[in-house]
Amino acid sequence: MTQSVTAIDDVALVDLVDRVIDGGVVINGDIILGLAGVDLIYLGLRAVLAPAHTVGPSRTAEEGVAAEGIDEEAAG
Amino acid sequence: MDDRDRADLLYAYCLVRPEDADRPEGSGLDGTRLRTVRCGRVAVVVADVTRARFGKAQWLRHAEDPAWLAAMAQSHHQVLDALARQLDLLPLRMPAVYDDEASLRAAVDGHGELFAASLERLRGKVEWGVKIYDGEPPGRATDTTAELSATSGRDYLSMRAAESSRRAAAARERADLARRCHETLRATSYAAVVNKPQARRISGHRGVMLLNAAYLLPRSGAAGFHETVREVDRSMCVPAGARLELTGPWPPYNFGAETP
Repeated sequence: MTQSVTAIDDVALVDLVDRVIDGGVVINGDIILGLAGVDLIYLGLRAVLAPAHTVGPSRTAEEGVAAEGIDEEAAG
Repeated sequence: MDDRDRADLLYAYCLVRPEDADRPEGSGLDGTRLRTVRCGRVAVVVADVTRARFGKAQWLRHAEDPAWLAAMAQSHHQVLDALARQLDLLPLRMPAVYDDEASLRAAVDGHGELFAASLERLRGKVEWGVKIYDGEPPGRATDTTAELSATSGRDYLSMRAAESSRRAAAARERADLARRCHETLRATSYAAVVNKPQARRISGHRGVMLLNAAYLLPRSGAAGFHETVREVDRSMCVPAGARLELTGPWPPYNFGAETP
């Protein structure tokens, strides 16, 4: 088990980009960039996460099964 | 000449409570000093940047530049990470850039109530991440032996059917393991979010990602949760050959969703 992450260098880029892409609140930050611009940037950010030569989600069949196992979005 | 004299754009990081507006310190993009803009019931932490460096044209020019985007994501996170260790904040999704304070206020206006409520919900809390990976899929070697020992077509087909149902059972077991781990961890946290498993990367994880979840916990005093994580690892993951990874504390990226 990997213990507490304290330094930014220790944070896996994939975890970070994952959160920066999907997390956080959106408050019309697209006013300047435009919806199309923001979409392009998110496509680019997803490419940071994707395996080489693949853009977009790349999940294996097995990962699909695991994902279906717990499909709740939020709780608490 | 001061940064703010040349700056013609605001890069926004997060929302904080108005009473915390004086607390954010440190620097943002290009070493610019962080400051806050009061917007009614909340305050927004911003950096004064230039259009020439971070305007629309720059973002669009780098839309297909993973290295630039990754650096921006890292810089965004670095600021939020440092702030979240000291005060409550609601992360903004990158890129949040505004012409000026008036356009920023216009964007926040009308949502102040919701944002204030979200900040209240997050009072004194941060996020921890837990990922669980499966071990090596079992039984590969024996499959080959079985296929070699098949003496007829019918034999072979029945072995294939048995193998396929065994695999389905294994997948159900994995999903069940993830569910049990998550339920246990959720019970010791304020709130939880389950995200899609991350895609495998070249330098990425081995095995199937079974769980990719985030838990909301007190900023100080997550020891109980950490003990539960150790127990889940020891009693559920290790016996199943699964691997558990704990990361954090994170700014509450996954818990600002109850907003428009």
